[in-house]
Formats: sequence, C-alpha cells, structure tokens
Amino acid sequence: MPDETFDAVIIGGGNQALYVAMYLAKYAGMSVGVFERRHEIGGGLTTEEMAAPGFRGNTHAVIQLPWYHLPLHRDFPEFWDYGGQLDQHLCSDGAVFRNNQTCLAIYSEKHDPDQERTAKEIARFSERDAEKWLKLRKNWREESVQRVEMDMLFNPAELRGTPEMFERQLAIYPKLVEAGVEPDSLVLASNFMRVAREFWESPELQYCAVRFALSSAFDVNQPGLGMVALGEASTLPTISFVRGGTHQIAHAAHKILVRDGCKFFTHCEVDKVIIENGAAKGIRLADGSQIAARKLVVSTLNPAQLCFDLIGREHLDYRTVRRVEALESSFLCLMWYSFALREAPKYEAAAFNPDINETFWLGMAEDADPEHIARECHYQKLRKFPPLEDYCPAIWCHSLVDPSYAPAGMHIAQSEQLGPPAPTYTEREWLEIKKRYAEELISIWKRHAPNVNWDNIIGVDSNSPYDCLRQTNCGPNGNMAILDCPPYQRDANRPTPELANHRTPVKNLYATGSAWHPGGWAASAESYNCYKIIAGDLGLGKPWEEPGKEEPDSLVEQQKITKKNMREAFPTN
Amino acid sequence: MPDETFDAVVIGGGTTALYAAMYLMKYGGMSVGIFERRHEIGGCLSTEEAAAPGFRGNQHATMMFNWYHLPYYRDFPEFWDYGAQHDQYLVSDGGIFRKEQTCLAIYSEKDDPTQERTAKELARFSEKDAEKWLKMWNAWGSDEGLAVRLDQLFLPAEFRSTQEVLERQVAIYTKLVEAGIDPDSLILASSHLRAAKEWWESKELQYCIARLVLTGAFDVNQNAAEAPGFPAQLPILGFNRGGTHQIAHSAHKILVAGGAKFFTHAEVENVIIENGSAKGIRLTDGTEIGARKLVLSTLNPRQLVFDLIGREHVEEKLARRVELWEDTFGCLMWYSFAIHEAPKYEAAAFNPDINKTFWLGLAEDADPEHIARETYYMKLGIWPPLEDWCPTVWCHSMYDPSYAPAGKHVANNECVGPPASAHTEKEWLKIKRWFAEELIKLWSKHAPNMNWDNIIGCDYNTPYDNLRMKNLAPHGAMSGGDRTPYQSFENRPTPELANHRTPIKNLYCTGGQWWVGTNAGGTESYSCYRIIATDLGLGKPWEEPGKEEPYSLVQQYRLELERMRKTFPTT
Repeated sequence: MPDETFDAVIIGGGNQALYVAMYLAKYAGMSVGVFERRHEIGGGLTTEEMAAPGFRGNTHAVIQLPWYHLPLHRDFPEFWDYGGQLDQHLCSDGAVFRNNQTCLAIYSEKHDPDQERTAKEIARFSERDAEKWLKLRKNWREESVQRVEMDMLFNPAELRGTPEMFERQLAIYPKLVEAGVEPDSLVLASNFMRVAREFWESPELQYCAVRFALSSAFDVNQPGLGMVALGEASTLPTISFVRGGTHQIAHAAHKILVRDGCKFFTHCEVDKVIIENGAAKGIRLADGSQIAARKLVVSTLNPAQLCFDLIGREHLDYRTVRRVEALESSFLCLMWYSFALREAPKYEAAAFNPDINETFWLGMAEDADPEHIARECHYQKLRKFPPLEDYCPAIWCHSLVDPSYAPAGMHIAQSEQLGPPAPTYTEREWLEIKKRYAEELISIWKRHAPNVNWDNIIGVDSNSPYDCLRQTNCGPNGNMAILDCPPYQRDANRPTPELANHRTPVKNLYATGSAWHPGGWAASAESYNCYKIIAGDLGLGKPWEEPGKEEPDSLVEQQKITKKNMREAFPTN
Repeated sequence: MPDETFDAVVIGGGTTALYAAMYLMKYGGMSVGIFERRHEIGGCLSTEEAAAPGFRGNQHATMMFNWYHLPYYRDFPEFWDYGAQHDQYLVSDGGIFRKEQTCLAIYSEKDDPTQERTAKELARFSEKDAEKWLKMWNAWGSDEGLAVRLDQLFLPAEFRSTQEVLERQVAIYTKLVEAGIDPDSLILASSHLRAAKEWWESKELQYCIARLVLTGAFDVNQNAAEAPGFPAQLPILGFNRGGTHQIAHSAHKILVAGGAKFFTHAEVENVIIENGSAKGIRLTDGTEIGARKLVLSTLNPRQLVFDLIGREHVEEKLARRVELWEDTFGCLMWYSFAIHEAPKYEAAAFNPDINKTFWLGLAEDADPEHIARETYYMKLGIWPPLEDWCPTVWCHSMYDPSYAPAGKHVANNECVGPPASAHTEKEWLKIKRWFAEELIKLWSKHAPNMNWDNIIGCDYNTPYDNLRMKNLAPHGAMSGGDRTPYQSFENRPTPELANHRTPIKNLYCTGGQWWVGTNAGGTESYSCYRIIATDLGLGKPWEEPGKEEPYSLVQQYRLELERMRKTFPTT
C-alpha cells in the first residue's frame, strides 16, 4: 500500500521539475506531487541574502535570455505578473581592456533595439566589424531566423528534423550569406575561437564573443560548435536578468502550481523508482515511504543519478551504462563570488566610454587578446588555476538597475570565473583557496576599477565548485551546468542519444533536467520538450496545437510580447 | 622570353611534388620541371647519417602505413623494386605501462593477418575488448571495409560523396554495428579520447589508440570523424627498408627515366600570372620558367597565397582563412640515439614480443588521460610534468641492418614539443640537451639498458630544426598543419583550396596541408592529379580496365602485404 498516490510523481523540485509539473497539472489535468531533497524548491533559481545583511545575490542562475520561458508566458499568462519579470541593463555585455585603456560596450536590445549605438562603439575598433554587426543584427531580428531558433530550442530531438524545419533552415541560408556569415563546412567544424577570428577583425569584439561562450558552458577550443558560436554573437545584446532575484521565477511557478492543486514535499530525498514488469509504478523515499504514480514518474536528476540510483544498472543495457559513466562534467565549474559594496564599481575605462559602468555581463581583461580565454580553458582542463594574466572573470552589479538587490545607496557586485572541479581539492584546501581567490580577484578588479578595494567592501560571499555540491545533481564536480557541452553532449547527444528524447528504458519513467537539450542554462526548453514527448506518448493536452498557438510562430510572437513587457514595466528614464 | 619552358612546372621537390610529377609525366604525357630550394629533393623523405658515424635515421617521415602508396604500385610497377619497399615489425604498435608492469602488443598485419595474436594479448586485459577487436578487424580488414577506407583516402573532396561511395559506406555499416563500433550521432561528434573510452574497456588499448592519434597530429580532445576507422590503423604501421629516402630515390629514378628535369638550389619567388592564369614561375635569381599547361605548387597555403600568388589575386575571405591556418600542434621532439644494444624492456617479462615493437609508447600507467593532459600542456606552451610525458620510441635496426653498423642499433623517439617560435635559438640549444637527459631518465625506467653507457651518440631534432623545411614554418610543425575538424577533410586547408584548384587558372596546389595530410603517403598528390586530369582531359589510369577503384587499390593492398612477406620473411 503506497503512503500517497498521484497521477504524476516528480523527482526533484528544481526549475525543470516545476515547469514540467505546470504542464502536467494544467494541460494534462493530472494530480502532481513534487519531491525535493532540500529545504527549498527552485533548484538553480535561487536568490539568497548574502555577503552582508540586506544584500541579495543569485547563487546559481543569474543570466536570463528572453527566449528562456516563452512557452510558459504563452501557456500561463499570469507567469509574468507572478514574478517571471525580465529586465536589462543599459549595456548587456562588454569588456574592459586594461593595457590599452579601452572598453567595448554592447548596448542592450532594450536600450538600443537597432544596435546603432553598439555599432558606433565597434566602429571605434573596426568599421568593417560595425557594418557586419548591423547586418547580423538585422538578420537575427527577422522572423524567419527566429522561427528556426524556436524550432531548434523548443522541440525534443525526434521532433527536430521535420521537412518543414529543414525548409525554414534553407530559407535563411541566403540571408546568412548576405550578412557575410555563411556557415560552410569550415565554420560548422570550427570552435568559438576560430569563428570569432574568422568573422571579426577587432580583438575587442572577438574577446566579448568568446568570453560569453564560457558563460554558456562551452570550451572555446572545442571544435564542432561553429553554428552555436555564430548565434552567440547575436545573443550578446539580449542578455537579461530577473527583477527581484532569479528565485522570483520559482515563486511564480510555485504560485501557479499551488493554485492547480500540485503538492510539494521538501526534505524528501528519493531513493528509488519502483519498477514492476519494466514499468515505473512510483517512488521510494529515503525514509522508506512509498509514493505511487498512477500514470508516470518524471526524474529531473542528473543522468548518473537517474541510471544508477533511481533505475539501477540491472535495468539498463551495457552501452547506456558505459555512455552515462563516460559523461563529462568537469569543465563548467565556477568561482562565483558576491561582494557587498558601498559604492558601485567605477571603471577607469569609463574615460573611453562612460556607459561601461552600466554594463551587465562585463569581462575584465588584461588586454583584448581572446587567446587568454583559450588558455584559461586549457588550464581548466588541467584542473589548475591559470596565472593571473589569464584570469578571465565576468562581473555584474544588478543593484545598478534593481534596488531590491541591495540596501538603499549600496550595491552588490558578483563575479564568475572558471575554477577546478570540486574533487581537485579537499574541504580544507577549498577553504584556503576561497580566501586566496577573493584577494586575487580584488587585486585584478581594482586595477580596472580603483574603488573596488577592501575599504569599499562590506562583506564577501565565496561560492566555489565545492559549494555547488549543495545541489547534489551538480556533483561530483560541482558543475553549474550539470554537464559540459562538447558536441558529443549536445543536441541529439545530450545527455546520450538513448536518453535524449526524455524516455528511459523503464516504461512511464521520463527524464529531463539541465543535462538534456539545450541544457546548461536556467531555461524551460528541457521541461517543455519533455512534456511534448509525454503528451505524445500518453495522449495529453497539447497547447501548441490550440488555435493561435501554432509553433514556431506563437513563440516568435511571444518573444516580442516579452520584450514589450520589459520596456513597459521598467521604462528607461 | 622564358629561360626554359615545360608543360608542367612543379614548385617544390618534396614527397607530393615527386608523386604528382610522376603522374603528370607518365599519364599526362607532359614535360615536367621540378624546382626545389634545398640541395636535395625528397622533402620529408629524408634519411641521414645521424647520431654517430654509420648510423642512419629518418629525420622526418618514418612511419609508412600499408596504404600509403597503393596507386603508385599499380601505375608504376617498378616503384617497389626501385626502393619503395615497406616492411613491418612483428609488433606494429604497443604500449608499456610502468606502474602496472604490463604491456600491450598489437601484432602487425604482416605477421598476424587475422589479428588473433593481438586478440590474445588484449584478452589479458579484457575479454570483451579481445572479442570486439576481432570483429572490428573483420569489418575494416575485409575488402568492403578497405574499400570504404580507401575511398576516403584517395579521392579529392568533390569526388568523395558520390552515390557509389555512400553506398559502400552504408554496406559496411551493419558490420560495424555487429562489431559494436557503429558510428551514431554521439560517436561522430566525439573526441578521439571519448570514442576510445566508449568502445574499449581496457585502458591499455585506449592508451595505444590515443597515442597513435597524437602521431597523426590530432588533438585527442577534439572531435574527429576519423575515430570509427582509427583502431584498424594500429596493426598496419610499417617503415621503409633502407631508409625513407629510398622512396624519393625510387620516384627520382622513374622521373629521370621519363625525362623530368630537376633543379635544386632553385627557389621560386612567385608564379607569373597573366589575365588570371598561371604562365610560369619566376625564380629568386630572376630566371623565368614558362609553363605551357600548368603550374603546381606543393608549398604550404601561406606560401601559396601570399608569396607565390599574392594577396591582390585572392579574395579577402580566403586570405583571412589562410592567415588563420593553425600549425602549432604537430611540433615534435624527434631524437636519434646510436646505441650498442637494442632496448630491453622490463615489460618483456609480461610479453617478450614487446621488445620487437615498432611504434612503442612509454607510459607511466595505462591511463589515456596522460595524453589528454600532455596535449593541454602543449597548447599552453608548458612542458608537462614527467608523468604526463607520452613519448613513442622505435628501433628500425632490429629488422633492417642498413640502419646501423653490424651488431649496433639506432633508436628514435617522438614526443610533442612547443612550436619553434616559442623559444630563441639559444634557448633551443639548452632545451635540446635538457630534453635528452629527461627522455633517457624516463626511458631507462622502462628499459634499464637505455642509459648513457649504452649510448654512442645522440642527434637532436626539434621543431626549431624542422625549419630547414621552409614549408613547415613558422612553427616547425612536422605535420605541416594541425588536423582539427576545421582543417580536415573538405576543410583542408580551406574549403576554397581543398580541391587542389586555386583562384588562378592552371595553378594547382597540393602538399601535406591538403587532405589526407600529415603523412608521407601519396594521397594528396594522387587526389590532385585526379582533379588536374579531370580539368585538362589527361590520362586517367583509374579508368583503365582492371584498374577500377576502389577495388584495384584493395587488390594492391593485398599484393603489397604478400610482397612484404615474400621479400622479408619473418624469421
């Protein structure tokens, strides 16, 4: 006799769990139970008081791109009002280059929809790049291009190769050629470094394009990512964040789920999926209680937890076991610090362009050579900190545009940089490293912004790959993206071809999470795509088939609405 | 008025120049002039007295895969007799793993045609691997498997995806599935290391595969479509009897007999271009040579585009791509040691045949991560700690007395090193000595008799020394260019140049920077000749009755092994 029964049982209470639960509750009319090991739901959507009293920082996900939650905005119109509210800084991306006392600011879409201001800044380094930037921008705003983007993001692998999609891809090819970014065989086989060098003349723009790759969990030296690299340049003006903290998104999802009757269980670690005759019947918790699932179980844990803990090797074939064992997750481990400040950073490079002080994702570079980033990646693969000149941190300061992040008149600035995976050091060593790294980072930072010194700093919160283990699905390395994103762990290979379509070898057991396509971000595509598969298998409600919601057009339309919401809710003064 | 005129003018006198000239002369019916900057033709087919008097070493190419010269044997039946005589060791490839006190020997196709001896050795580490190895060999070693491999090797990009070629690939697919090495989307996107780890259980075999990958100037951490066929390369490593340079002699004899003319100490300044078409070449001494039909460059893409052609004739996109050509990875420390006694490995206690191995990896332990780490260190320009050194060693004199005086031996090694440009001349001088000490320290841990008492002399060859071949500049990469996915297949050296045509009419190009590249085989020149013959309507031996491809090449492959076994019987 199970202790409790639901139509759908969800293992894990992170972002993907919440999103898939929303669809199962509302569009499939199921009763849903969500089981989370920690004291809190939301997973990577977390905002905590940190660094000092009254200061708040996002301990995990911080970047939001406008496409992240498009189906949720469309299918749950209250999602924005409940807390899924995006905003942008004046400049969405940029970098300061110390040696030549310059900087490059990429203005945000919100403030510079045509990218003319950005082009003007780029033209200070290369006229040719400025011209190409505008062409690329124009290209990417075209609906035909956005339709292709939506096709690729919001469909599981088996639905991604339809003839209609191929036709839409072919249709945009001549436009890419016209913009001077033709993706021929060489580009497709290239890495981020090679693509940046091939398409852009100015090392400054190359640096910005390549630095953002790290934040998307890509090794900039890894070939076979040319098309991603190409798309990434047009992502730079769209980088956004969540008003009130990333955790607000979890609150929005939570409110919707509570309304729809979903039940939440925290401090509930799941031990196993109960399997009978090859089908999932429910779950067993670590405390021995059993929860029955009438229709399905969804796991949102990582593939190793799914296969070896929840399912068990005895239910898997040799090849799947081997592939899951071989999954690589040691690259996107981050040093992620928060500094409570009296005064926002003031960069010397502001003499070159004052707006650099109001940049969201800001790279700090010794000089504009992207080779520093390539070298930092190699060091990361060797599990070593690089020499200081190859440190390529990115920093941000949300309190510049959102007062909820810090007490009045004060600021909180955060940083991201690659760091060795958690098992490289012992607990005690990490303690030392965390202190040392803060000193090193400030020594670099104050060379760019002299007011970022220990007199200006009220408190520090040090978050390392070791600390990331608070989310056990980021284990064993403390990888913020769960899995690295080499070509063999992307697209139809993420996490493995056998699992990519969200089905498992166990009937009625489905799986999703950041280890699935597109992965590595706090988006909703992983769970939406999983629901698409479930809905197909079990004959559930399909909002994307409702009149007016046909895809990809409804998603393209939704993106416009989301951007309009942003401009209207938080007008530029 | 040109000072001299030929139908075909070939720039450079290296491997690919000689091979292409052979076809232009015999099958194109052309008069051919070959212009070489150095005192000697043959390029990397070079064997010199090295390390001590009476000892000889190959300074550049040393490894000969069994497929390197197949069309040449078919189309120039005297090629073998004149000097292109491949042979194999008893053991083709292997690795010694010091901490485990084990070793793995991959027996050569010559001596173990069914690979059962190899499988027996593999079974000592993993039964599953042994079984899979036999199936793998059954798939790739079959006529159908060979045909698929040879299609990829001996066709230029634009002929590589015909209906027939694709059909042959599909036909072999089921055999690969059966062997458990089918290339699905994950494998096609995998790094060499990831593929090796996926397919093979034993780290020992993973290590041997990954180490040979490095020799191919591939970064083991990068994805490579070559991975599915790669394990089948391990049993087919050979060398050339009498020194690699004998192959150049063989080509030279054939060319001289056919009337080709050679000019050494003749550096080419540029190609003479009129109305977008190549008319000849200008030498640095001002001499002009007319070309009635075509000019063929065998220099590297930078020399081709910026020196021979000139930027003004080239589109910006191509110029940029050639500027971005990457060639810092395949830089090698390549030493020759004249020794009294051949190396005797402690691992011979595990398998005595390890002493008779050609391409032998010396590893601290069997973890292929050492190779991945060595690669990252090299990309950073840092020498790895000694436990991450992954040298390979060989000793031709065990099989071929011509390499050393009677009773003595010459042993060589290859190890990745920093690009020439990373250090000054003076620094290189120091590094060269330091490296010899480090290497011997490591080598003697595996083979105690490899110590300085056993060593008569040592010849140091580094990326810096490689600059003697100007087309390897500026970094001295032996491979001429790294084999990243964006510099492989139809991207080698760039999509615009991959089919051996240039923006200049009648100017063709080939060399180690074209596909297949990074080896001393005849693939790049044969593919180039196919393009030229198609464009200009020249003789096409592959269309002659009995020479249809790929099966005439498959037949040549079998014949070569037979010749090898007959001429150099295993004692």
